[in-house]
Amino acid sequence: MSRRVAIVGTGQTKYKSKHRTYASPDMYFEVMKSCLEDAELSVNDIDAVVFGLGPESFDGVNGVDKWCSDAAGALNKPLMRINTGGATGGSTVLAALDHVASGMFDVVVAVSGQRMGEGTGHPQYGLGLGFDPILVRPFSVNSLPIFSGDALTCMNKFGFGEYHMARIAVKNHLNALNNPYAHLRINTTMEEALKAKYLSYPLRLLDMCPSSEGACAVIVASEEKAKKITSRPAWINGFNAGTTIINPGIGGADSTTTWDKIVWPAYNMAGIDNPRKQIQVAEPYIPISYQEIAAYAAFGFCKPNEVAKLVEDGFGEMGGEVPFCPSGGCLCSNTIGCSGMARMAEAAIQVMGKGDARQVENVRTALATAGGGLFGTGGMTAFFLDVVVLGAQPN
Amino acid sequence: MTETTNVELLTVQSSWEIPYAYSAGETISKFLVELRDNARIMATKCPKCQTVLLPPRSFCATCFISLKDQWVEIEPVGKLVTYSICTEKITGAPEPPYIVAFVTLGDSSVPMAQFLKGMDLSDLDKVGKELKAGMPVKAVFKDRADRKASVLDFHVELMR
Repeated sequence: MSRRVAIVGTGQTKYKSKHRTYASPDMYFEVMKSCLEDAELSVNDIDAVVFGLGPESFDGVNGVDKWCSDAAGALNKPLMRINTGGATGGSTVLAALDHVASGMFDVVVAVSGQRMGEGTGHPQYGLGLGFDPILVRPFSVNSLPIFSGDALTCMNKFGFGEYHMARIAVKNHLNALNNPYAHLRINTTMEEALKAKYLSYPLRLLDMCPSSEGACAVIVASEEKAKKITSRPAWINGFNAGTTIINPGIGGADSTTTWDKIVWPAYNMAGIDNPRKQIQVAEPYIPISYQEIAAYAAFGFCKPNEVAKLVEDGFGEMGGEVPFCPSGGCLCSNTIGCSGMARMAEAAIQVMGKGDARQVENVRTALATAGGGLFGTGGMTAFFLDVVVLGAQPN
Repeated sequence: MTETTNVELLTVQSSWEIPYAYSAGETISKFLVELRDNARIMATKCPKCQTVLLPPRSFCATCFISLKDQWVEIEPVGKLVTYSICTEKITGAPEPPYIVAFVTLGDSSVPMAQFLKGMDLSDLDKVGKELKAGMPVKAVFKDRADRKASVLDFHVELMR
């Protein structure tokens, strides 16, 4: 990286089914305002805006970034839009990082959101419109068949069962109770999780994310500016991104080799050779419980045959060896467009010590990921993967 | 972040109704016409890496070469890779329950989506335990008069 870059402020709206008090520009204005307040900056301090939005079919408006550009603080400034599906928010942070690392800009805001509640049909219908219209759409393929098929593959490959998925689901739902922004706030038990109805076998109701509305913003700054803005920046010490083709059965969340290629260059950049010892908290993009179990191996925290044991030992719980998803994560709030950014914002919050009830102690290094796009199903579709490693100290 | 308000909050109803005619192109058109006219599953094969692509594609993304006219016929039998028992009612989708399977047919190594039919779906827990990755499947075609040059001209069933 040609210049050091840090996250110096974050803002989030509350995530909920429908923000009836906001027209879309209101939502982006509110999240920008809270982000600028967090960094103690004014809109005049922002040099450029990167705007993340997922598929148009969710909001029902073409190019919400145009409609809401002034609300995002972009008046008379450069603005670009990013769309990498569920990874959008993460990719938007990386694009803002590129803006600053290049030397062209010093302070850039990444803002993203989605209104999953505007559509009055099933949100999966809108998602399904992303697939090949001739070869795949006739099967109504959407997140449910894709991820339940992938979950079965992961269960076979890693040797875990519904009990393990329920452990993760309960953990993340209980974590969400500590996050004032979380959408689902369910004080649940193992018994309830294991009895919840199947949405699509083997995934039950509590294993699966809701569809949420909300927005997130993150301000990134050059080293010189970051040090002036805050005494506790979250330094972006490692990052990477990639595009792959994932296909249920030949490489979904089970695809440790795919994630290997994405996370290890970021770890290397951040000087990490043993993630389990060097990372204190992770905010990975986990919309569905089984994916956290696969992630323990995929992100290098253990061997593939050890994941079930880690779940049983409470490895990722608050107070566990490396807490995963202290915010409740994507499982409890999923806006598509800004979910990936919320992961990076939450990791930054942990590094900056602003996590209040969800704060993990002594965080020196935090991991965040984002993933999205659509799984291939013969009619191939790209899947995007983003990762950042944030540090309390620059490396 | 206003959570309460005295204003009467309105929503305005609308919808997108935009008709399209998607171009299937030469490769997919040939694939679909073969399904309709000859009940035959055609795929493309990369001469360099030998990967068989089903549904066929006009190029190999790995080797980045054209697969135009690199046709091979696919045996209408294969393996269940993974599957989903769909129980949610979703706009535009069939009436649940139904099974979407990901199957590899013939020499293809790429799982493709297909409906898995011919199962008794009255006890879904039982179906979930019965179905296993690797089970042999066969393609079953509709009668000629019902085939419409669509991927729905056939479905898959377990071979018993």
